[in-house]
Amino acid sequence: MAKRWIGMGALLMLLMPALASAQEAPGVEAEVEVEAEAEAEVASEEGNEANATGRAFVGDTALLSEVGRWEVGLFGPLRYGLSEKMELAVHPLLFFVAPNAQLKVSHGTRGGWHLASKHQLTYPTLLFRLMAREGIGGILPADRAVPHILSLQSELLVTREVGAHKVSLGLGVQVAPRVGESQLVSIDLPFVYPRTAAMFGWATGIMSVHMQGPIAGKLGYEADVRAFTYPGVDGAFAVEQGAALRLTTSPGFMAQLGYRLSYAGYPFGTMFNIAPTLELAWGF
Amino acid sequence: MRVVLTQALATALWGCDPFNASFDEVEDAQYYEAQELIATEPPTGELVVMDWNIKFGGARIDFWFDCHGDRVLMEEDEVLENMEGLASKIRQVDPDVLLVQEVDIDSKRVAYVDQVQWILDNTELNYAVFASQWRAHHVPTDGIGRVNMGNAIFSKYPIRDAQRIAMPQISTNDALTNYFYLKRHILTSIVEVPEYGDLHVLNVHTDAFAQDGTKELQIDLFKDELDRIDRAGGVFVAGGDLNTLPPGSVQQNDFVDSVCESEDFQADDFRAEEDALTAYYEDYTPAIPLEDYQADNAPYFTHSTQGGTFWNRKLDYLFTNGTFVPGSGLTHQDAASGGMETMPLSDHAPITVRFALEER
Repeated sequence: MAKRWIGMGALLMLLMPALASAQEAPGVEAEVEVEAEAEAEVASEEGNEANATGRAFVGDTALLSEVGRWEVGLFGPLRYGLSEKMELAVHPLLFFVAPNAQLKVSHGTRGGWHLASKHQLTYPTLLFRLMAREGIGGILPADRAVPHILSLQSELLVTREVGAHKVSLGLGVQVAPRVGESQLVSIDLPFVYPRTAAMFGWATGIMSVHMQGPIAGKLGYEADVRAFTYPGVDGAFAVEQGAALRLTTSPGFMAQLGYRLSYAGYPFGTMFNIAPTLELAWGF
Repeated sequence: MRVVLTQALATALWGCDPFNASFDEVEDAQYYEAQELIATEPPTGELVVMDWNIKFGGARIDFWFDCHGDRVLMEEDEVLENMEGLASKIRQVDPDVLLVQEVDIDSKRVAYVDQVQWILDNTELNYAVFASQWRAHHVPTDGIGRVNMGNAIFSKYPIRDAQRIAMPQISTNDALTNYFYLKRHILTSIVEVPEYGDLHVLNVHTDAFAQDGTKELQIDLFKDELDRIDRAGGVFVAGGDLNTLPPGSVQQNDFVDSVCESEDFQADDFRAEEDALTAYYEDYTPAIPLEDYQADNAPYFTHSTQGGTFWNRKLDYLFTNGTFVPGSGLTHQDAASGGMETMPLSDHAPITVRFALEER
C-alpha cells in the first residue's frame, strides 16, 4: 500500500514538470507566454486583493521577496530581498554552529511559470561535533571522528500562480563532500536522516510539490509533498507531506500551525511518523 | 490560548510518547519462530534449562557504562562474530529452555541485528518470546540512538501466553530521564512441553543502578509473581539477572573491576541487600543450593565487568517450585567448569540446571 502511494507521488512529481514544459511547445511558445504572463498578472492582482500579502512569506516558491524586504521566522530562515533577481537567506538559529547561506536566483517567467534556482551552502561539522558528546544531549557517540563536511544543495523551482494560489514544483540535488577521517554515525530520525543522508553517500535527490494560498480573509494554507532519494545509503528514500493553516494578519506577520508526515527508509527498515509544526514569521 | 491549542494539537498528533519509549502495565510479549523449525523429540524425563545475560553481543568490548572504555556502537561484523561465540556455547549446552537478558532486536549499537531471530536461526531452539526493557526511537544520551533491548525466553517447544508485566522505575530519576531510561519488567510465558504439559517460565532483569530501594521492590514483585503461580498450582522455572548477591556472600563491595565514579553507575555495593533473596531460597529450589554457595562462593560467580579479571560475584539465578535434578546446577565459568571459556563471550557466565519432569 505504501509503495503504491510512493509510486503515485513520484509519478505526479515527474509528470507535472513535463506538463509545464508541454506548454512551451515550439511555434506557440511566444503566444502562450504572452497570454500566460497576462494571466499571471491578473492572478497576482487577484491574489493581492485576496490576502493583501503580495510576495510576503513566499519562501518555498520560485518567487522572491520584494527588494529590501526582510523576513525572519521563529524556526525558519532570515531572508532579504537583495534585488529583483536575488534573495539571500540564512538560518540564524543554526548559523553559529552550522554556518550556512542560501541564494535564490530568479530566472524570470516562462509560460506563466516563475523560474528560480536555490543554492544552499552549509558547513555542519561544528554542529555534529557539538552533538557528539558523552552524557545527556549526546546525539552522536563521542568516540567517533567527524570530518569536515560541506553540504551543497541546489534546487530548481517553478511556480505558477492560479488565482491567488501558488503551485510550485522543485527538483534538486544535495551533495556533501567530506575531508578528513570520517567515523560519522547517522542520526536515524525522521526529517533528519533524509537531510543528512548525502553525508554518507554521494548525493541525495529531492523533488517537491508545494501549494499555498488563501482560504478566507486572513486565513490561508500551505501544503507540500517532498520526496528524497539517497541511493547507496541505507533506507534509500523518504517521502514527507505537510500541511498547515496560515494566519497572515499583514505583510508584516504570519502564524502557521500544522503537521508533517514522514514515511522513510532507515538502516533498520521503514518508519512512519507524524509531528506537529508551528511557525511564526515577521516581515519588515 | 495559542499555547494550549498547540499543546492539544501536539498531543493529538504525537501522543504522549513521541519516541515510542513507554509500555502498558501488562502487554503481550513479541513472538518469534526460527526460520526453519527443527523437529524435536519429546524430552525424556528432564529439561535442560539455561540462563544467560548476553550483554547484547558486546562480548568483552569496554563500553561507556562499565567505565572501562568509551565504546557506544558496534559494527555489524563485530556483532555477528560475538553472536557466533554465544551461539557456540548455546549449541554446546543444547538447552531445551533458555532465558536471556540484554538481548537487542532493533538497536543502533548492534548495527540493527535482531539477536533473538539470529539465536533462533543459529541454534537448535525453535521458539522465542521477547519483551523490551529499553526502547526508544532515539535515546539522546551518549550517542546511543535507537534502542530496543530486553529479555527473551527461548524454547525447543511452543510458547504461549507470554506477557510483559511492568515493574516500577527508579524513583529518584526525573520524569524526562525515566522516559528514556530502562523499564524493567517480568517476562512470563508458558512452554508447552510434550508429554508433560504446561511449564511456566519467567525471566527477569532487575535494576543494576537503583539506590532508592527500587531493585529490592522489583525482586519482591518477581517473588510475588512466582508465589501467585505456585498458589494456583502451576509449576515454574524462573530466573534471570537479579543484580544482587545470595545471602552469605563473603565479598559484598569493593570489587576489583568496579571503577565507576559516577553516582549514576554505582552498582556494586550490596551490603544493604544481604537478605534480598532469602525468601527465594526458603520457598523454592535454586539451581545452585545455598549451602554449596556459602561453603565456597567462587565456583558460582557469574559476573565481572572487565575481561582481564575473572568472575567475582554471583548475580544470576534459576529457581523452581518443581524439582531440579540434585547436583545438576552448573555455573559455566570456563573450560574446566562447563567445557568452554565463557569469559570472552559476555560479562556474565551462563548457568544451567536439569529440571525433572515429574508427574504432578
